[in-house]
Amino acid sequence: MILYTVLPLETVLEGLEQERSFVDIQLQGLTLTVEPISMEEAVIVRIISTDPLHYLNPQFSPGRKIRLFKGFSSGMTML
Amino acid sequence: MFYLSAENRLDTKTPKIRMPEQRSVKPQMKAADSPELSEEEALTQSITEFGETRVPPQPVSNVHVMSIIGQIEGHIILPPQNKTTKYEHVIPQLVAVEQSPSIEGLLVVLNTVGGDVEAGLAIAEMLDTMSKPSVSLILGGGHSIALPIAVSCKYGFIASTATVTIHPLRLSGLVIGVPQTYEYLEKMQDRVVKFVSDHSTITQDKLRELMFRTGELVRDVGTVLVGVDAVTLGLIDEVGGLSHALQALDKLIQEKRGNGQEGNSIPEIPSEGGGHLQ
Repeated sequence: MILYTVLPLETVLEGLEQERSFVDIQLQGLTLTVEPISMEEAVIVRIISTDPLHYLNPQFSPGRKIRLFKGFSSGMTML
Repeated sequence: MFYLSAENRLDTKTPKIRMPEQRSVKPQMKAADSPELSEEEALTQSITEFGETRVPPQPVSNVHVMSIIGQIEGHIILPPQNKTTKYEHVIPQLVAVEQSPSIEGLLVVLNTVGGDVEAGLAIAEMLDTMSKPSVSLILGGGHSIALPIAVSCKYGFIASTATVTIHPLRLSGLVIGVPQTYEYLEKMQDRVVKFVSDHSTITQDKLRELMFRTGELVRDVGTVLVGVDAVTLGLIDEVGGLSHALQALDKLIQEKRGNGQEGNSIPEIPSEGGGHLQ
């Protein structure tokens, strides 16, 4: 990886060692990689889909917080 | 409030989907008689559940805006203190923009400190080979790898106070101290230099000279170009702001419409692509 940036690398990479855990969930028919931040909430990290229109949907934009709860099915659902 | 105006009240279909099942009977009956109530209820629900109000309905725009901010994230997820632009999200978005019949143009707003070379070049190549008109606007700063992205659009603007920093590439992490490492670095740098010179009027030699200039940056090699400097050197087309960028984009859209099916932007692409290989 080559970072071409004006910021000092120490600043950019600070905290890289901290382990972050991601989980893949099914939501409204597509797979999302999310980072749980509490028992109930998670932040979207990435969309896994081959439909380009999913990437234009603001509901699934990375960084968006979603609320998780165990639904009737095994999957997790957005409120 | 705009979103409660008479025309917009009628659009109750979307919020209804969000209704929880327990309460579905009552609101549905209400919705048939008075659409305002269900709209309001949906709004309240949106506030309580998401902590945000629904965005008021807007007239549909034929232009899509893409903001490239912070660090351009590459193959490694950067720590959360960085604001990042994720290439794996931006690239499919560009595909959607290219494909969508309702989007006619793309405005790329740049305020970025640089980032991963490969991710940046990937976005730049996608923008370059898009058939739809694209205009870039540098605000604040468009440093390092932001420059290829700025020049890849059909037309580029820079705000008069915005800056572009041009500096050499550096290797991070474990570096094997052999001459080949230097050659590798040189090769990576050539990719950036070549892309920028191919997509702007600056020569490769001039760009390298700016890159390795000393005395401009404190304790570093490189050059800071403020607004008009980037235009004088031929990197960016014009100094301007939001209205200029949108006007230019509109002009490009009109041109493309005028050309119809035999739009000259489509045959242009292979010849430009061939130029890269030389």
